[in-house]
Amino acid sequence: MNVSPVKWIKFRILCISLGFVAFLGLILHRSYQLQIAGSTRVDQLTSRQYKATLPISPRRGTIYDRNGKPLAVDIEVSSLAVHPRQITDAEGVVSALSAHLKIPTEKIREKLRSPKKFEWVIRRIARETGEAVASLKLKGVTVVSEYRRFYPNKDLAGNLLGAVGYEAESLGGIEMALDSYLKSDSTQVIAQKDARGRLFTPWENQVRSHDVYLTLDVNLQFIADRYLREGAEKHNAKSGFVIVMNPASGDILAMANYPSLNPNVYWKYSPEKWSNHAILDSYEPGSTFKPVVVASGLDSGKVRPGDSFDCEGGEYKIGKRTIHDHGAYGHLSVSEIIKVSSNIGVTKIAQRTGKNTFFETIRKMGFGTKPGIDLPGEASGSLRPLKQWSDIDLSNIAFGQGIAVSGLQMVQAYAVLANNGIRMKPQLVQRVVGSEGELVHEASPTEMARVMGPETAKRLTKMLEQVVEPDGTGGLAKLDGYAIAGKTGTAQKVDPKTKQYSNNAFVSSFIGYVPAEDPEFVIYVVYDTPKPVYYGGLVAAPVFKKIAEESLAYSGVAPSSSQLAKNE
Amino acid sequence: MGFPFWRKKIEEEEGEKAKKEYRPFDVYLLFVTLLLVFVGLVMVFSSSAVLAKERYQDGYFFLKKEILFVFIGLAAMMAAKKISYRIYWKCTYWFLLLSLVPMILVLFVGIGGGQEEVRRWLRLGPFTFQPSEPVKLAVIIFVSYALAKKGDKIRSFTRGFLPVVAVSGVYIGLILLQKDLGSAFTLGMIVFLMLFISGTRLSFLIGSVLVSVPILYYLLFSVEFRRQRMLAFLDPWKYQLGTGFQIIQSFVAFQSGGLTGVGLGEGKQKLFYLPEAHTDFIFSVVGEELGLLGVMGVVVLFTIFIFRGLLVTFRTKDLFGMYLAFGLTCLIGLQAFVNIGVVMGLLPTKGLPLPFISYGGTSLVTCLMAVGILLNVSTDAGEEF
Repeated sequence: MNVSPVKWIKFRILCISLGFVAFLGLILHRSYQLQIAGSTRVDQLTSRQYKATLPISPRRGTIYDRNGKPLAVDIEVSSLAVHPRQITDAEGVVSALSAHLKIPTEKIREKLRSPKKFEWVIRRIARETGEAVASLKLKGVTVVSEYRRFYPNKDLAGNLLGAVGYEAESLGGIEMALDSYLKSDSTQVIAQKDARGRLFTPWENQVRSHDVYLTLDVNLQFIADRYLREGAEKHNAKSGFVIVMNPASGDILAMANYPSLNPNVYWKYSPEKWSNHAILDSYEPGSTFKPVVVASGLDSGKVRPGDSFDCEGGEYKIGKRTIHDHGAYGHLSVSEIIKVSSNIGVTKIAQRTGKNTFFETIRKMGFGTKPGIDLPGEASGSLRPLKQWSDIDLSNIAFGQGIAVSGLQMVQAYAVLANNGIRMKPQLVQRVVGSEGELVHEASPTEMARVMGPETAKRLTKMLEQVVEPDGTGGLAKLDGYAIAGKTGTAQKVDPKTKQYSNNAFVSSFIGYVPAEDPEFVIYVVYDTPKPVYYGGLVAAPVFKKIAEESLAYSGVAPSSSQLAKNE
Repeated sequence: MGFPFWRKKIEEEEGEKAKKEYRPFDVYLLFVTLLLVFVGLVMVFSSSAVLAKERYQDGYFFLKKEILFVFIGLAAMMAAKKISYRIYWKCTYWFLLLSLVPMILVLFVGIGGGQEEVRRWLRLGPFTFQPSEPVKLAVIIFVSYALAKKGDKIRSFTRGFLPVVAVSGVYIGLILLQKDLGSAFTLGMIVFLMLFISGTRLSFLIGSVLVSVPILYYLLFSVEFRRQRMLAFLDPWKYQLGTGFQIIQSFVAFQSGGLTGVGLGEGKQKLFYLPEAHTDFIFSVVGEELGLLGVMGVVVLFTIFIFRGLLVTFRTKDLFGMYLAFGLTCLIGLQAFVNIGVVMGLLPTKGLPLPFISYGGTSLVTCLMAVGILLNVSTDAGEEF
């Protein structure tokens, strides 16, 4: 041989090296293909296979009162599901679950026979029970965390808050109005799962919701709630509500309803018991409306404070209709008309003021339009257009008939008197805070309109203070040490059958603000159909007094010395 | 010419001359090996922790065992590095005989990795032993021995080619009986390549290829799980939920990794999407967590290994040492490339570990022993032919 065999060997090794190099090139090309170029098919699979879509109710934002006391919170509960196909020891699972959950074995067996991949066994049980089952590490049994809405104060402000259903859907009230803030971005949560279907990423951190701070004060709400219920039970009222508002800021501090709703067990309540009467109901306000026409007259200058009006001895004919007073009054000053709540007196004032001016004042005070606190079903009341007003309408509306208002509108209107003639926008939501603590929305006191001059407001306050004098209609609202400006109302209800005013169904109310010289609260107490006593001054005024008394004490508003001196 | 000269040499010259001819071992080979072993430890931990935690309540379970085997393997490697490879010349048949025992034993008392019909492992207390791994070493030593001894006679069919093929054929056949086509194929390839470089007639080689193709075809399509794997290899998406699942999950891993990877330990494919994530498909986890750069890194390390191994082959002046070095380099290189080819979908799925990196004690110790022998060969200046 010419060439040595070793040379040949080396040559062949070189050939094989080339083979290795070729394969190396193939691998590099392939890894470029796989890792850089990629394929859409793989992409689709990748985006799909880790994804687990969970039908779990995500954590909702918390609702707090103005001081950060929780009104509605989500608490963690456990839900239990089985994956029938993964279960190997069926009887073991049945007996373990049955023992822990106290469910009949047959029910669990039924679930295990399901052809589905996934079957809920029980949802929303106490976390401890869920954890106990989870610690058994049963094959094919999954314990997941879910949330359940919990209202720590039970039925306190329940009608206002509304409730949250089984699938985290809002069912009314604040929960519904602020749902876009409170609920998480999505109702289904996406987590990542391993190839055996178990989740390996916590899904809680994806859930973004906002916390809401209301203007309510839990303590004031509690006070309002308690005395509202006491009064309603004492006087056999069908329903009732109390609104407490700060006139200077428009903040609603309490909104209590009777009968109340405990949203924790909302399913036990019939629909009518859900009602938040304070904002949903429209009704004729009765005498509490009288200061509106007086304000209109005084502010326009058409009526002067010193004017007196002939009250016609208790009977006054307008066209075919006769208007009655409770007493046979002669000439009364404006102040006295308010104090004794003379229908004839306010009719005369309305006539002198004129319907244009009166209508204008009514509108400016916010009647006929929604107060705009954005709760579902908020009532705007009903105010007839001016051109449909007849002479008798002018008279009726002056004493609160032929016009329908909502409770919130009334509070808004009295707040004008308490706030030197300026109407503030009623506020229920103080601020909304994001999950990172960032401020998303903050309400600030908003002036809506100057309705009357401060002088007029002061004069009316003085007149309304007379109402709670012992000889006024609202004497039972009188409070030692604090001047109260208020007005009683006893409005006949329209019988829905006869369309006539009923003689035994009344809306009894008292509205006022305290302390009169520098009001902290506007408080409105309304009862629907109290029996047998129905006078606002007897039914609602004492409730007003108790709420005012405790609210002032809670807020630390000092009694005024001049008031105390007056009682000496 | 005559290689028996070295035998005289080693017996005659134990003194100064031998020391003079002593070359330092190939430090690059050692360095690359240690790097690969290190990468292996990291990747075994990353890919097995979840499984270990679930199966043994100890995330470090596989890592601990692997570390133990790294120590055993490194000890074996250092020992093999010290022992002159020429000793194996004398022991060739002993090795063959010794490795035959567990190979036959495993057919009766062996256990499979979850598959019913597979018997590949022998249980030894808490450990398992895979007899087919050391058999590879024995066969390579034998073929080196035979080729070196036969010299030019290898060009004869009956006296040269056939005996070599027959003896290695028995072992490959025994591996096939364990249903370990991957190992059988690799070993067959190694013997084939060794025969090729030995200068046997190309007609023998071409003939043997022609004979083995139908056998291979029969083997591939007669065993059901292999037939499925073949079909899945040809169109993985069609068998996406069955036999194609593994390779498609491997694609997902590589594609998720992209250029730089999702980060060490951050891979999701090992969460039971990728079966055998810490053994045969560990390279997919490398692709996912370390990306193209990691893949290139490992491939480059293996390439350097092969390059240095072939360089040792080139430099060795002794035929036995040369064949041995070549065979051992192929053992590591082929296994690596076949494994990488499989996980990248270039070759049909076979149960073959990635040398140094996949979890598995027998394979690791065997590979490190192979490196030890290779290192010893690299120190040998030998004698000009």
